[in-house]
Amino acid sequence: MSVQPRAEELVDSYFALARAALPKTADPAQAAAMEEALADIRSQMLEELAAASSRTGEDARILADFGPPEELAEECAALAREESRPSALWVKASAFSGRALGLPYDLRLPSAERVASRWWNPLDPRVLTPRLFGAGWTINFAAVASRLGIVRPDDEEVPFALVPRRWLVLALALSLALAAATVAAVIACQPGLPAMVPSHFGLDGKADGFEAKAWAPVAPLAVTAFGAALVAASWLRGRSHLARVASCALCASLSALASGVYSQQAAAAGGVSILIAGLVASLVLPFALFIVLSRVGRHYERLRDYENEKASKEEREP
Amino acid sequence: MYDMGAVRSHEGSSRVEDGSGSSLSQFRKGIVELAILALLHEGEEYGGRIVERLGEHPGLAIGAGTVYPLLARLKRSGLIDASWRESPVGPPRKYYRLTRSGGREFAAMLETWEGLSRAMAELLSKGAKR
Repeated sequence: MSVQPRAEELVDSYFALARAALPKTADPAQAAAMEEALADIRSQMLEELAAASSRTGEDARILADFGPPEELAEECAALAREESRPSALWVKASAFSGRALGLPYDLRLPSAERVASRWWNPLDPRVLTPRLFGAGWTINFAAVASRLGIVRPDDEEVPFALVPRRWLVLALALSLALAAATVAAVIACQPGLPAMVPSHFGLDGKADGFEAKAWAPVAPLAVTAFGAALVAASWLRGRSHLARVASCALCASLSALASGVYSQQAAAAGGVSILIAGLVASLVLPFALFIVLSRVGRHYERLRDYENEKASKEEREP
Repeated sequence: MYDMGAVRSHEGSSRVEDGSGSSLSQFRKGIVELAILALLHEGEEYGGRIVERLGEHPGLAIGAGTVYPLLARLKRSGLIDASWRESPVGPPRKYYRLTRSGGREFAAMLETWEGLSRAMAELLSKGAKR
């Protein structure tokens, strides 16, 4: 299948107009992002045209579906702005993703939004999804909740979008309080630790490796600080509700994990029950946070719809 | 129909990951979309019931994991609309219904489908005779 020469001309002139309508920018990354978005849409359009080329009159309809080129340019610019906002931290160049020898690759650091949507994606039934960056899996808590019958995949149109600010602030406060409590507990316990603390446990639950006590708080504090920093970043950058909730969940999870690890080392007792409790808490806490806020979001979505219905009813019967 | 959501998800390379890039699954998705539109053409329905009713046709071989993402996509492209409704019995439910453009799209898809299936039936019956 191929595109008719005349249709290709149409596409070329359409994109010439769209490119001309792109807003001027001094940021080369943003300019590249806009061009990339346009190129994406161009290939999408060509695909559709190629699929439809046997039918007459389809070309014009497809072009019309894409809207006026000026509007398209505007949307591309908005898209590029959204993506290149945190350009200082995130790798941002088209060379880092695409296809090489027919294989897709993605070496970009994942954006907060993409990571968050891996943690809570009600539309994806998979409980474990491959990590966006690095090896292993991420738990999709929404799939777990959906399997348990706690939430439905379509409970919320956009996850947490309608959760009121006060609830988000509550989640923020709780997760940061948990991180702060972890740090405080570590600082309070550190002087009382024995000179050597267990650093590794065998399969039988007995400590089989030891380290100087000065090392014990390093990893727990670093992990907790990382969680708190993520929360702060997602709020200061004004991320979506989903990203903010996910950062709170991650912070709570990491704090619980850090507390578990440190307490286990501090307890220096046989068995790994404290560590396991920490692990369980690091899964249960984010799960609970997601579920509660998803319920809140659903509640407000329902209220919105009931209001809309009432309003449209009144309109019909004045 | 063009929507920015599709471009964004493409950007997120989710198309590659959920395997929908293969032409067969694209084909199936198109058919399931038509099935959903046909169901909603009869009247509005809630998600769980849509899954159930499509599940009554084992040949379609679709479950909740396919239906909900498609409902979300159809809603994004404006072909269907959804809203929560209180129910005198049972919990509130989110009902889906065809929009005006969804009705038009359904009519167009139905026409295409009928032409296709007629042609395919002819082609396949000839092949079987030979």
